[in-house]
Amino acid sequence: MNKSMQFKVGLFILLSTMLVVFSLLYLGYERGWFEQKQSYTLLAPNAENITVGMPVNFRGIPIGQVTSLSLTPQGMARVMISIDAQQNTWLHSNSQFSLDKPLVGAAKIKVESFDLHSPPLSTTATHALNVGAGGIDIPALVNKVNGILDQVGLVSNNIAYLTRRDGDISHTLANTQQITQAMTGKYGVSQGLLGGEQHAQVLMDSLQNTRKLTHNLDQLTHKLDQVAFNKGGLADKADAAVAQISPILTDLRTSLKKVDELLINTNGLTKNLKQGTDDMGQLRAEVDEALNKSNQIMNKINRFLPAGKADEVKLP
Amino acid sequence: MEILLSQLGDAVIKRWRALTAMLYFGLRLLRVTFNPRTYDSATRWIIVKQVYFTAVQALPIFLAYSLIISALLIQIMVSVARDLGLSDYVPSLIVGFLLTQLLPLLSALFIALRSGAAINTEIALMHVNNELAAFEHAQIDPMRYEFMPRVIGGVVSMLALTSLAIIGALIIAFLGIYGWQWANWSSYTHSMALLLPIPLVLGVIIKTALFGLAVTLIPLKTGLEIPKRLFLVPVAVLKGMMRVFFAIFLIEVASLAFNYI
Repeated sequence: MNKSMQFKVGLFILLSTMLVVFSLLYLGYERGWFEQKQSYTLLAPNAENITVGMPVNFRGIPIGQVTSLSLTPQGMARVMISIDAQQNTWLHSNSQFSLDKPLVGAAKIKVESFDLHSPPLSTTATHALNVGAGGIDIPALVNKVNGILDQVGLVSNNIAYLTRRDGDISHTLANTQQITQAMTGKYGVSQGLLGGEQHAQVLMDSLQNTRKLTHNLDQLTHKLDQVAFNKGGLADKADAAVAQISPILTDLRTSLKKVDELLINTNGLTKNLKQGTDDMGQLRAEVDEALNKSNQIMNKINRFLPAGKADEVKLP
Repeated sequence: MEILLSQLGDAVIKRWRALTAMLYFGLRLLRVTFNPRTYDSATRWIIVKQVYFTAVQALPIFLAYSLIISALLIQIMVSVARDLGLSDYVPSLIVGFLLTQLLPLLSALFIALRSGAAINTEIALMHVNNELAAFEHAQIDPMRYEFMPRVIGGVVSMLALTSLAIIGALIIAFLGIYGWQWANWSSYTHSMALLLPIPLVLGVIIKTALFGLAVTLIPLKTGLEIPKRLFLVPVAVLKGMMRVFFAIFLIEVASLAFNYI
């Protein structure tokens, strides 16, 4: 019994101590006790809302924390941050630091690196910390809202002034009431628009005349319609004339065809005539030759018959 | 009026005397505790016995009780925070409320009700039966062999049980927030580690040790204070428990004030 009790107590104490020590070591490991740290210096116009121990986040993941706050000789706030050695690969020469202060919850420093291939961030130089754009400044917001509320108050005052008793708007409304009242009169909307019963009467009269005029126009067009399109009307006659034109045109076409043939014939004729004249030329040449031959024969005869008178053969 | 005032003064003086007697007793006990010659096989054996009865015997029921309460509270926090869109703040809520305040307090109440009451009764009975006087006659220092081992055992048990409850609650909190997605374990432990700075952890350890001291020292002293009548033993237990209750809340309020003011 005693041995068993001692063993159990020993086991309990050993296990709990081991568990606690392991947990504390793990806590230390996670808090970065066994990690090398890299320190960077940030400069800000002021250190409001910045506290020692505040986390430094890169894309929402904590990679370090604020280690100290102090003032520079120029009166700027110097914020020292330490970054876990494993995580400082995310800091580059173009990294930007800003204070992120949400409406609810703790503020943190946000790092943004746009180009992960640029050279690593210098540990000796100081870097700017943007404190203005990071979060919501509640007093400033309240001031702004107060301004807006003042404006709203002025606007509501103006509205109250405009809608006061005997104000412009009440006059306007009274006029509107008069107009609408007139609109409900004998001549309706026209009376309201024209301002009185007499004017409306004139409008009504002219409308009446217009109606008569349109009636007359209507009749006129009806008559014209009859004249033009009834049986034996203008349109029919025109139709008949058109019908007659068609045979005339047919005749004309046949006449023209004939003229065409005539022309073809004339053409052939002139061709023949040309051939004829060609033949005539030949004939003449032959006649000339024949005459020459007969002249030669005559000359020969004259030689044979010297007393005789030399007769000449004349061509027709 | 005069009677009223004198009654008030009497009550204040009585309590003041009880408090100073308690502190004196505590100082004597600490002197014995930090004396290396105190520890021999007999004291060690009594310490082991005290740890066994306070912590080892009660371990299963204590773990069940603390884990169920942690699981319920964490589940409520997670679901309420999710409904309100404040899920990011669940870990800090768990650390700030459950781990550092509620679990040490619940452990203290558990040990006070289980072991504190037992110690109170035991010492009162020994006192009434003149056993302590007999020890003194036999040149055995009851402070060394009866009181100190109980206090040491109580404080050790208190620290061990509270640590186990806190570690269990941390695992339950992970399951409550992420489910069985062990891939999130490293980000979870990292965020929890950032929420548990060393001063806070030390503060919780000191507070738990003070709780352990209160739930054993006060019953001891109260058990010794009664006149030697057997029927007064229940009164001693009642008085001791009330004092333990007040002491626990005093320590809790002091720690809260220290943390947040």
